[in-house]
Amino acid sequence: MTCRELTELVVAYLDGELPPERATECRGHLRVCAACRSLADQHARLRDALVELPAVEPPPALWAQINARLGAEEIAASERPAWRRALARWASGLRPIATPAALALSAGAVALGVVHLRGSSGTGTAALTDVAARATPAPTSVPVEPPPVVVAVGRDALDEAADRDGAADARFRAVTADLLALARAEAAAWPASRAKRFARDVERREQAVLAAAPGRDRERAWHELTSFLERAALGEQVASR
Amino acid sequence: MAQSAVTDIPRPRDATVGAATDDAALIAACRRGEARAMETLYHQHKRRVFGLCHRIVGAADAEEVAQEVFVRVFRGLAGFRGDAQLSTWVYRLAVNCALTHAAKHKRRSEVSDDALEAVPGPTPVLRDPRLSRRVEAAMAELPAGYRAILVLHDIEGLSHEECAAILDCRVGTSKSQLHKARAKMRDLLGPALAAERHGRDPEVA
Repeated sequence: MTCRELTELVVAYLDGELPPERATECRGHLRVCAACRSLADQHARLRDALVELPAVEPPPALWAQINARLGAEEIAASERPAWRRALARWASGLRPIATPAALALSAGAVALGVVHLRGSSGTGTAALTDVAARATPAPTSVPVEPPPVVVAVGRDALDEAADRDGAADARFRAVTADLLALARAEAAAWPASRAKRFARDVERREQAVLAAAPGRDRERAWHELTSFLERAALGEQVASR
Repeated sequence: MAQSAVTDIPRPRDATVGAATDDAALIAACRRGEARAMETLYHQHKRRVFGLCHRIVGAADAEEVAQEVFVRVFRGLAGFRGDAQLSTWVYRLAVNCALTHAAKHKRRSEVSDDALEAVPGPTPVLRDPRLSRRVEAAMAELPAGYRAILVLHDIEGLSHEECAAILDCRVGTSKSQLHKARAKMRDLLGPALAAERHGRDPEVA
């Protein structure tokens, strides 16, 4: 072992991090090299000094200070305007929609092209084709003919797709309820004609959701409704202050 | 915003903390805002968090940064997914807060001897108490990143695996950072360490 090698290894050696044979080599070199011995001595002293540094105790008042800051934040949160609180909930509620599963769903549908399965009933065609697309990643060069595996999509896959759509619907429904309550609270102060127009617009978008097939179409309709409600809440906020 | 927060407010009933020895139950209780759970979490981690802050940003700012760390811990618990240990996550937050603070304030204030004298701690076992002050002073000269690895590995006694998890780096990186930090410390302290070895008064050096 050379002095240069030892210099590179001395910290690991003193910490006991080296494999036994490497450590033995270090010890062998230290026995014959006074300069490296001096270096290792200094490093050992340093390590001991670091390990033995007196502990620092947190001041007893620290928890009270933290508590006070947490309390101040909670007060601030409670004083945020209702529409901002709802938007925060809305944003966090929507995030799960953009999960890899959802992305794979739409990507699968695009890769396969539009596949019509008019014969299938119940859960809706869009979901069915999406499931098929996911089961067999289609080569991009032959997009037109659906692969025969579509027929073999079992009950489990259909259930799964239905569950997924159901979960998405539930999330949108919750978000919509939140936003709608807010928007209605704001609308109470509006002139009657405007409130009436608003109610009609909301209803039209709700009908669109109900009419849309589960899957991407319905998701689009939900987005249409929620962003309309969001704009209503925001617009009133801007106008009234 | 000069709001004075009332500290003694009604909180959700402490349902689980009595038995909440494991992290998951403690985290759940903290998310519900249970006072006792939050305090338990604080006490579990206060020493190491404060120690980290103190050594990385210096005595003057340690309290402020430690406050910030715990506020972020409680604010962030909602999003904590449990793919790291709670302690690892808390210390990572602490290191990040401290390093960010250190970067903003560039050099930490010089460690005064008075401040160190006032620090309560175990009976000093060092043969030379002056050396510990020199070590503190030398640490203040180091880049903040080197201070972080010295505190985690040497002062807090964590393994390289734990350090790597907290610093979000590879184990090999943790080892090489420690090597560089110690080498730099030895350069800074050289005469003091040598003097001790020969039994001379380090003040002469």
